[in-house]
Amino acid sequence: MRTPAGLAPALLAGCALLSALLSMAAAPQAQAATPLEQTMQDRDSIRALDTDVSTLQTQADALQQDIRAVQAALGEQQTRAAALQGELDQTDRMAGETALHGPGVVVRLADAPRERIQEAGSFYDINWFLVHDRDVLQVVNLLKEAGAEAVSINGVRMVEGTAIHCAGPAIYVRDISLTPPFVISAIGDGDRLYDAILKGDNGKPVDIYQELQVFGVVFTVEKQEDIMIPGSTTTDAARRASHDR
Amino acid sequence: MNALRALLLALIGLFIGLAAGMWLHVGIPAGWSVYAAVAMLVIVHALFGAINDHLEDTFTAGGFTLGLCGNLVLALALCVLGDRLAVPVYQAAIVYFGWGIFSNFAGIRRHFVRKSRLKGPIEWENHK
Repeated sequence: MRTPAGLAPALLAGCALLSALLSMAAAPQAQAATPLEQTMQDRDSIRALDTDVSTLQTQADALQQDIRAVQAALGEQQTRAAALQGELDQTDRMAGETALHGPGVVVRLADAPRERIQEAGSFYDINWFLVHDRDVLQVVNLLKEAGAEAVSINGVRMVEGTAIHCAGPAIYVRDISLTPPFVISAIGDGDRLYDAILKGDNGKPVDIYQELQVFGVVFTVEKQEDIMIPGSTTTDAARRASHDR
Repeated sequence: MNALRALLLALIGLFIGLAAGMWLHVGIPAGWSVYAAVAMLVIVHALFGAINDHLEDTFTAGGFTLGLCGNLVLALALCVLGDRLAVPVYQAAIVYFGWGIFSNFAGIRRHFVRKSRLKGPIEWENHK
């Protein structure tokens, strides 16, 4: 059907309508959303949150695994550290660096009293009335054979290879000079150590004991419950400035 | 009606619409933007169709208005249906009218190509 109206009004009206809609759409938006839009927005946000949740979950799991790994490694380290510490302690003890205390015996050796020596007269060699390095050494060896765990002489710790030698009226233990009376402390089985000297092999006191007794050399063995033996470093440090090890 | 006149009419129409929209102080609520978008597509489709028809001498005002209003009602009804069902049915309207815009535009382009190929007004009249 051909009407007088042409394209002009149609064009005008159409464009007016279009731009009206556009300007309305461009205007500040109201808050209301159609049910469809709202649902779709909700669905999208739910989906986004779900993905976030699963991502965080994976991250949490990974971190949890890391934590467990670190804990396991830490546990390992601790066991190793404890083992090393144990070794160190043992070595220290063997080296005699640690102070120890426990039951054992205290042996006292001292030169015979002056009166006794004078009594005996000039017939006898005075040496027989004195305590010598070899006497101390013998006692120490007896104690060690009887299972002494630690030995000290006058507070000087005996460690592996400690030498005792004579130097006039004094004796040298390592390079420390000591004078009588000698107090030899030994930690171990008190009874065993006691018997080692006073019961010997056949139930009788050992030879050295008897010999020294004859000459009146002070030789006493006493069992004690709590003997304190210092570590080798304590005495060394007290006597000299530095020490090459 | 030549291209310049058409363009002028379009621009005037645009300005009128703009002024009307601003003067009315109504905005399209955010949730209703689907309706607005579909309506815009329908209108652009109808406009391009009108230009195409005019070039082919088949334009009728009645046909244009009927087509426009009918399409608008149909498209907006689709949007309402989609809202009720919570299904994005409006996408069908977008696809169809979007395609229609390009189809009409192609028709316009073809017309001018044909016109430029034929030499002289007589052949052009004969062709038409």
